[in-house]
Amino acid sequence: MKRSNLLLFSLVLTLFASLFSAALVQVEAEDIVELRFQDWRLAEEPAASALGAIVAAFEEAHPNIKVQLEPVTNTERIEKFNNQFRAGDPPDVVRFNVTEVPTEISMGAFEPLDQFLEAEGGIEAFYADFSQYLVIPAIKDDHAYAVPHEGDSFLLYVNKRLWSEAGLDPVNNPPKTFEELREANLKLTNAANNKYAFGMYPNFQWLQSWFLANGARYFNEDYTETYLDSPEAIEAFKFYIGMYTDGTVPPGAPEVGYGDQIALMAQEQVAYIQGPYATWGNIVAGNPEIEKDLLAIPFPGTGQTAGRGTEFAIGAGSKHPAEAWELIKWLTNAENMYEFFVNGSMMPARMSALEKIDLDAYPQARPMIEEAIPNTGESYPAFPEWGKCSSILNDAIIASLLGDGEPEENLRSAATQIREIIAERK
Amino acid sequence: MGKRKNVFSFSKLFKGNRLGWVFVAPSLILFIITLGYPIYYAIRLSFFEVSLNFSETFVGLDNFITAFKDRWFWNSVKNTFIYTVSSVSITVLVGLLIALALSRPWLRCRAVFHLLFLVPWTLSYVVVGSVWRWILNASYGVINAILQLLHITEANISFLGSSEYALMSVIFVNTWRSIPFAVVMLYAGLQLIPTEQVEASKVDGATSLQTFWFVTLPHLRGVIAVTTVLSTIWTFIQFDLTQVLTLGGGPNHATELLSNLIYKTSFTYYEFGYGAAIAVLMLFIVLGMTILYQRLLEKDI
Repeated sequence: MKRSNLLLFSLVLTLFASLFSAALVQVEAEDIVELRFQDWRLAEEPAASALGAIVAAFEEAHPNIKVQLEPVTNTERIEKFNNQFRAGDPPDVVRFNVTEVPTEISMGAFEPLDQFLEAEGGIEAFYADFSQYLVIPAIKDDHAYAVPHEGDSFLLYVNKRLWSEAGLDPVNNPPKTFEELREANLKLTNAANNKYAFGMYPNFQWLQSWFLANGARYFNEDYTETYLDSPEAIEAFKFYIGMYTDGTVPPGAPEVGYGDQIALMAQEQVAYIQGPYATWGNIVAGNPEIEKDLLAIPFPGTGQTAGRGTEFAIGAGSKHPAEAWELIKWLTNAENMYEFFVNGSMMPARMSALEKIDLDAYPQARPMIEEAIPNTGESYPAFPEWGKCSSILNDAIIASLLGDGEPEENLRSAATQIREIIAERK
Repeated sequence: MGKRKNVFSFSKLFKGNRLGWVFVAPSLILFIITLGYPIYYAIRLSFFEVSLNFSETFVGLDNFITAFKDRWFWNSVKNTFIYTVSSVSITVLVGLLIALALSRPWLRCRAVFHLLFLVPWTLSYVVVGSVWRWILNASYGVINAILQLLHITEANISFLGSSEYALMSVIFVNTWRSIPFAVVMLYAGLQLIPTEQVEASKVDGATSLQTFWFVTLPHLRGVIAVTTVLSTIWTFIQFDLTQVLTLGGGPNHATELLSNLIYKTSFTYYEFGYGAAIAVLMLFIVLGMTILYQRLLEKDI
């Protein structure tokens, strides 16, 4: 054979070989379903690594499913998802806060889970293992749309050493009433040395626990009436604002965000802050030395606090709802929720997962599991118009902190405005 | 016989210009898709009330009437104007002073100064907002630490958390970010002034101030006008700095600009129709500014 002919033959052979292998790869690729999983926890450590490991195990157990992780920041996540959903290209699986779930359901942004839940024994049987305050927002008109993943409540995280230096004993004698806490605040504050009692992060979610601790509630069960201007609510609000106006909270509270609150605690500029379970890990991450002095105590008063949590849903219009459901089931089974607690420091939403936690191995979880969660008063508000209502309540908080109007008048005005919004829905 | 009226017609527009239209077509199509349609959609939406499940109800001018009655709308209009006028005035004034200083013949290490003054301009508003949020923090911000070290203040000041200082602080940060643009424009303008005229004024016995007033400033008039109008448009439509620095216009709406209000109305309250109505009102204000800018360019001042 001529040399040029041999070269031509080899070229043609190579071309056929590559076309054939490309076709083979294509066939294999067509068999693999690629899921998109959008979650702000994927952008936060240690939760991101913990979730990554759980998803990797899912892929191993489901060779036909590949999960594309889509980390998203907490600030942009809602707008991003809503835009993707409106454009007909939502992620297959997405996490939302419990308080946001009803709004998204009303928008039609989540795929109904009914057909999948039927295979699990029906809605009632499937949700029996979850706290009811996390289940109610996930259901609308007898259709289920989301599965709870995280669920916990609020505690006060105190620096035992700073309390002890102020002559207080939070271990054996924590404040039991608002008045006792007010007295402790004054002892814990030394403004000349830039030391303050409480690291306030003023927003409606954090405030709610103070209301519950004083026997007040935000709403009735079906969100058709607000109790924001009840005597107990007004008293709690005045106490909360008073902590700032008394000078026991660092200046600039209206600009404080969650991260600032953690930084204040980690830098020992404040003697205590409030927060959910993750707060413990966040403080220790900011200052590992502080762990030996850290203690979680219940709120004074009734001790009741607000329940918070997150849920997974399938984006409406997902091309692979069955595979997305498999991923949600995997993420929310008791074993993986427990794994997420161990490695991601997040409290599980399933009772059976909570029972797996060895409180001797994780002593910091004891007050949350034994006191705060059983004492959950009401959940974060969860109804479609809450976005606007929460903004009105936040305005009342900030205006009162700035001395722009009396706290009582501001709260009453917020209650009136929220009542008008609720009335429109009714 | 009176002059014939100059009537616009599409056939006249295309006649003899067909090849021109072919060349313009790609960018025109892109413009219509990316700008024209969104503007049309926003204007259309402003006449509707949109429910959470996106069903639309025609409400006529209701959304505009609501805006005119809404105190937060007027609050954001006021904030936007104060923010824009203050930021632009300080930016152009300080920018001019820095440009004049940079063009002094005795200045050594000019390249280093050029680089230093350009640094803020290279940063995005999100980065600027995040960094200054730390710098101005009431509890651990470096500004408070310096003020106390120099015994200027005794207690920490809440720059971003008090209605008194918040808008002022945001204006300061925006000015810090915007000055380099003014410096670049005005410095370039200064290089175009004929040196003979400056030297002649000196020979005639003019003081430095007189030279600046009667020679430099008239030559810079055009550059100053363009810098001012461009800065005004950019500042007026700004969104990201306040969104990051004061978390969307806080505390208690003290730094809420029109753009923040539009975002909040549309994406927090999900009142898309009302949000679109505010956006349309803002569009008309910016349109006025753009026409002014065009006029300035046409006059070639």
